[in-house]
Amino acid sequence: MSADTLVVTGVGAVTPWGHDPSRLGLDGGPPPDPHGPWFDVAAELGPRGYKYVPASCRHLLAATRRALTDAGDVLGRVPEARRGMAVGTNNGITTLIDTMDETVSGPGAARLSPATAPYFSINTLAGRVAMDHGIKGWNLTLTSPRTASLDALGAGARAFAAGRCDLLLAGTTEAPLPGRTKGHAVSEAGAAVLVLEPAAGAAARGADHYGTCRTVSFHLPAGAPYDAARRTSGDALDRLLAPGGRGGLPAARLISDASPVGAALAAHLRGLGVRTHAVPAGAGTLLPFLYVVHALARQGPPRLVAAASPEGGCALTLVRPYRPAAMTARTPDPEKEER
Amino acid sequence: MTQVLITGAGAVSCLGVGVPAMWRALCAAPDGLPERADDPGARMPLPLIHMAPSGPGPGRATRLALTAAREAVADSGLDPRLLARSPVVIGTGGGNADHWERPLDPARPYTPAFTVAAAIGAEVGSSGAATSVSNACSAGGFALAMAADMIRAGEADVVLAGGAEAYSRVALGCFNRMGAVDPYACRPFHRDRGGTVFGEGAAVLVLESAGHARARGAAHHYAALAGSGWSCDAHHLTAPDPDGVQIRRAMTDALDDAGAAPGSVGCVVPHGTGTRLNDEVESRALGSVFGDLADCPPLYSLKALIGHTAGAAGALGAVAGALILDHGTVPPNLALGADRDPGCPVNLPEGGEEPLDGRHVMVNAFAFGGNNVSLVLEGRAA
Amino acid sequence: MNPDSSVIDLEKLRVTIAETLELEPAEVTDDAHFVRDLGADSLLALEMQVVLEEQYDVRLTEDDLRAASTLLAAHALLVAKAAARTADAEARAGQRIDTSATNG
Repeated sequence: MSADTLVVTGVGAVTPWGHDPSRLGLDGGPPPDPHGPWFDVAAELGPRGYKYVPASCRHLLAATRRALTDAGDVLGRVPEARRGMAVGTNNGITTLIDTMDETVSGPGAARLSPATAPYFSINTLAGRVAMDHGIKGWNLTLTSPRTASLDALGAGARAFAAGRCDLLLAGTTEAPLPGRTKGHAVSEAGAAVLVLEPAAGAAARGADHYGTCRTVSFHLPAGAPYDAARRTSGDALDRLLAPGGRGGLPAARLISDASPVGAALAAHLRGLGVRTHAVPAGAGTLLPFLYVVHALARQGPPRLVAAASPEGGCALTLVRPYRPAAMTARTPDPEKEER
Repeated sequence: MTQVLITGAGAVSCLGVGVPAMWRALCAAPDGLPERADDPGARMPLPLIHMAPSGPGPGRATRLALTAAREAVADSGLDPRLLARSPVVIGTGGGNADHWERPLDPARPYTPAFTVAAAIGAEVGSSGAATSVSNACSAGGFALAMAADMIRAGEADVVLAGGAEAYSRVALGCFNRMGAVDPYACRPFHRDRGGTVFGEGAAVLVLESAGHARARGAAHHYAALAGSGWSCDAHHLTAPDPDGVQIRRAMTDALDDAGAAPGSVGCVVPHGTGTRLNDEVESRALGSVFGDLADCPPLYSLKALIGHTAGAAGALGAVAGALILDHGTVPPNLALGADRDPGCPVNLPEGGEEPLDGRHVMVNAFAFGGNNVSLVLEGRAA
Repeated sequence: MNPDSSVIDLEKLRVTIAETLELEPAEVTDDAHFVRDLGADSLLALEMQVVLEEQYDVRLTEDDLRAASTLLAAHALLVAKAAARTADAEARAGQRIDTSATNG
């Protein structure tokens, strides 16, 4: 591992599955009710200051705090202008927009809450987090359907490689869809954040790390010839696995729906020799990121997390936990359970 | 470092469809006022917007973006086969906001709003990633900067990048509620400015490595996207940090990234939205980058013509900047005369068209959430 | 709505403003300046305007908002607004009686 390889030194999550990233029961049947009382804002964030902050932003604030606490004293070592953040979300403000639209098209815009009004803009979710932690380097909000959270890992790593920051926070947040919309039944809620820094920086401050994760995003156009799509998927896999090549392919979780794109990516991954377990997607981009977080926090063998959207968007993240052997001894191998 | 060329451009705004139409309008500088949104649900005092030609029905942002993308690809002269692996990066604040807004058709399946980039990827049939960037009013600028980073990193030879924004009832309602809409027009640097006025629009650029452009014998490039600077105020959800430190850093980082000295900048397309504090802070920050007013490059105040196109603004600003470098001319600003705000000490020439004096043009895009980006475009060698 | 809106209860107003600014009522002292002392930004000031307008059935202008910078100042303003509205309503009621008298 070279000195400037990004390693994960902090993990934080708040989810209906619980808040311990190593114990998220993501494979245990249907997800817990996202509308349930799984998030205690006062316990996570304190008694005041969040009255006008929408749910998805509260989730992101809480996950960020947890990740930074987990990472130890990292902010103190990186100037504000060298801190970057990339956040992926699809539905962080969908319900808020719907509520606002009901007001604007009903009693009128004069009845909107001025203090909540800024959140019509989806980038204010991450913008609010930046205010809390002095993230002044830059802040990106990615919104590509389903892949946005994995895109955030890729875009963040690219900006780091381009010298735009010395510390990267990458994360995702979602909130349930309005009850009357299609997709409500597969609503997601929760947030997760990773703290990433160069291996040399982590070593210099004596910080343990969870391992690495790298992402390649691509597009499988509808009607693309089978061979071309296979080649695209293979190229993405090769870029991730380089320089080691395809030997000892890690198993994959593929988060997708019943769309042709999901089916195609599953077929291509399997055709390339990747043991691929398909997981039904939620409405947004939370679930793929939670698999990444879980794989890092639990340790164990390298893993692939894949996501595919009906629109053609695909992303692959390769998670390489730091202590595969040591941790595997204590953790049952989920691959075995599945077979 | 790999040079990133702008080898194709497409644009649509209230000025019409197409880059040639846009340049003609910039040179003619028509004094157009915004219209009232044709939307019975727009229950707000100032439903003002500059609409762009898009056609009826939902998915306006996607249609605007596709119009611009088709033009850009045709303009570049690229064989479509050379786009087979090109990533697409599109900035948009609200995406297809009309997918979310009322009345919702109960029979329609759930459709995410941020599908603009994916639609362009599908249209081109590319296997490159289609990334949707939603950094509000700086999204288009960030999309271009990310695309240039992809080419510099060797991830791609050609990227389609830009921004698109369509009418959103909720966005306009919120701006009304926050008192951020000017009752008359988008009037950057005007002493009576009372906020901004939105505009619809889209701009897509073909960004291409110089090596790739040379190898295929590209006929023309407008300019190079030579550098970008990114920053975040981390100060307030909507208001700029009055100290302007991060806005300044975006500009100086962009100059450093481009290897350009402040003195070589011949024109700045400012963020300049007509919002009181934004224009003041940007004016001061420009002064701190470029020095005395006498040393400050002329501004080209684009939003006075097309309104604030939000997620498309940085990309339409980049098209304007590329055209300024391509023609060697700065189009005339709408004259403010005695109405210039003395609190905004900027070089805003009003005497008509001026020759461009400098190799570089800077384009600024700032946003809610404190998201700032500056681009530096470089003209062809003389 | 207050049945006798010319009477504005100072303590109720204190609680309303405290809730709007996410503070304890005790922190909203009579003379604490909303912006300087209590950290209200322009959006929270607008929020307070909306809340007060709804709760006390008055219309507040930007100038009103600037003037009402403390609890006591806001209270005085609301009392004046409510009084003006009562006077206005009485005048209108009087007009109505006159009209009906004429028509009758």
